[in-house]
Amino acid sequence: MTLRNPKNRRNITANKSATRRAVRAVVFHVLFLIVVYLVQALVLPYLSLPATPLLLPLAAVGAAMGQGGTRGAAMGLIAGALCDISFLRPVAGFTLLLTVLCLVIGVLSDTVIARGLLSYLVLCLFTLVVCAAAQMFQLLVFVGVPPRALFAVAGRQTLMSLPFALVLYPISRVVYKTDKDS
Amino acid sequence: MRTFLTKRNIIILIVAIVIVAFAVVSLNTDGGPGIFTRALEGLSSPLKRAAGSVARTFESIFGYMYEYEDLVRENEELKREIQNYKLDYSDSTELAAENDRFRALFGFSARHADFRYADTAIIAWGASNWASSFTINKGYANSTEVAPIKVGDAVITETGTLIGRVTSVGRVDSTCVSVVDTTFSAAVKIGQLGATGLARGDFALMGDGKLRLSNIVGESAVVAGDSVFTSGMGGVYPEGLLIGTVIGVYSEESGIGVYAIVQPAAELLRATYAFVITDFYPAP
Repeated sequence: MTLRNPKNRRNITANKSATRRAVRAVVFHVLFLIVVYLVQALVLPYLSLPATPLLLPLAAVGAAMGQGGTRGAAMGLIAGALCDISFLRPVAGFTLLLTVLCLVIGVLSDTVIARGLLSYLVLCLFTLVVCAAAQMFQLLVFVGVPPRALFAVAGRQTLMSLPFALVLYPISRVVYKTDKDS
Repeated sequence: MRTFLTKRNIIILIVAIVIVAFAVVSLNTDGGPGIFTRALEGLSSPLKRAAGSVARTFESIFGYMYEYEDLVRENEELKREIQNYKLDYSDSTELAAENDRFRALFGFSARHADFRYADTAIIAWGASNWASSFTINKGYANSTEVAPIKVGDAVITETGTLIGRVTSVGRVDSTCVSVVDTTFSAAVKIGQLGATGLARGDFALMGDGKLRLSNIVGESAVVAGDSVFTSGMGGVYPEGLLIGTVIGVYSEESGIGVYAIVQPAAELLRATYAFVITDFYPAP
């Protein structure tokens, strides 16, 4: 391929623009996840809420729906690591969980699931339920906490987190729109 | 003669005579300025004032330009001095607060001369709904005490109130669980009548910031209002650390025995400074 050919020059320029736009979208998502982490870890726990909402999984779902399988898994990895850090736990449980979840959600968004508010809310609900189940597992099996108490906290956590999905959805859409134009 | 008395020469002669006449008239024998002098002064005075005004203007401009740099330099030095004073004041305020904490700890440590402490600050609380944990700002790299921080060390306030224990030690910080966490447990003494039991975190009570007292021996002696202290049994925690106060005694679900609910003595979420007991002599 030579650069004397105008068609080749146009292709190279177009590829560079697409790469720049992709990098910009990834940077926006990472910054967005960091802001969400700061709100989840440094603001919400000190409010007198029935349960501290989980925002990072919701942001990760939005990123996965917009970025697809591979990039969605990368965003899930970052969101999961930030989740583990906010819980003062080793960076392992949520890191792995959100990576897998976002990979699956990203692939489904690319193939069968329509990208819209309803799909986003359903996927957020599913993610929150899975996260609560993962958090309950250790306490249920190894500590012997009664299931009723665990389900009560899981329910409060899910219900307190879902309204924030309505706030995070348009922000994710803005970033997704930027990515879609590339 | 005829050539001397030309029109021009006559005019000059008249002017000279006039000037001489003015000079004679301006002579003032009483010492003051004469008429001529006063007239000249009157004409020159506005000129002098104008010249003086211009000179002062130039003087001020020149002085402004010349002294401006000195003023700027002096202003910067004064700002630096003020900044240093502010830092010194802030340091002294922090030192005073730290002094107060150590003074409070001294009252507690006087009764526990065998304790070794590490002074720490609580830098973050966990955001989880399933655990109650916090991070302190000392780890194995910046713990300069004789006995460094290790897993299992008790974390207390300056008044000897137990607020948690160390669960993992990092390089510059450590993670601790609070007394209401489900993984916390400690052998305790209750009240003044020698009842003993096991204080442990309960998931159902954790959200309310309370913990459970179970396996109570001497349960008839336990009433609401009793203080709960660590007993030192097992050597995990030192003896005599205040955990909290009994707020209610209830029958177990099985119907055998009783349990109590304990309100921690420390306001956990408001705690910002803490001490880690890095070494002590276990109770016999």
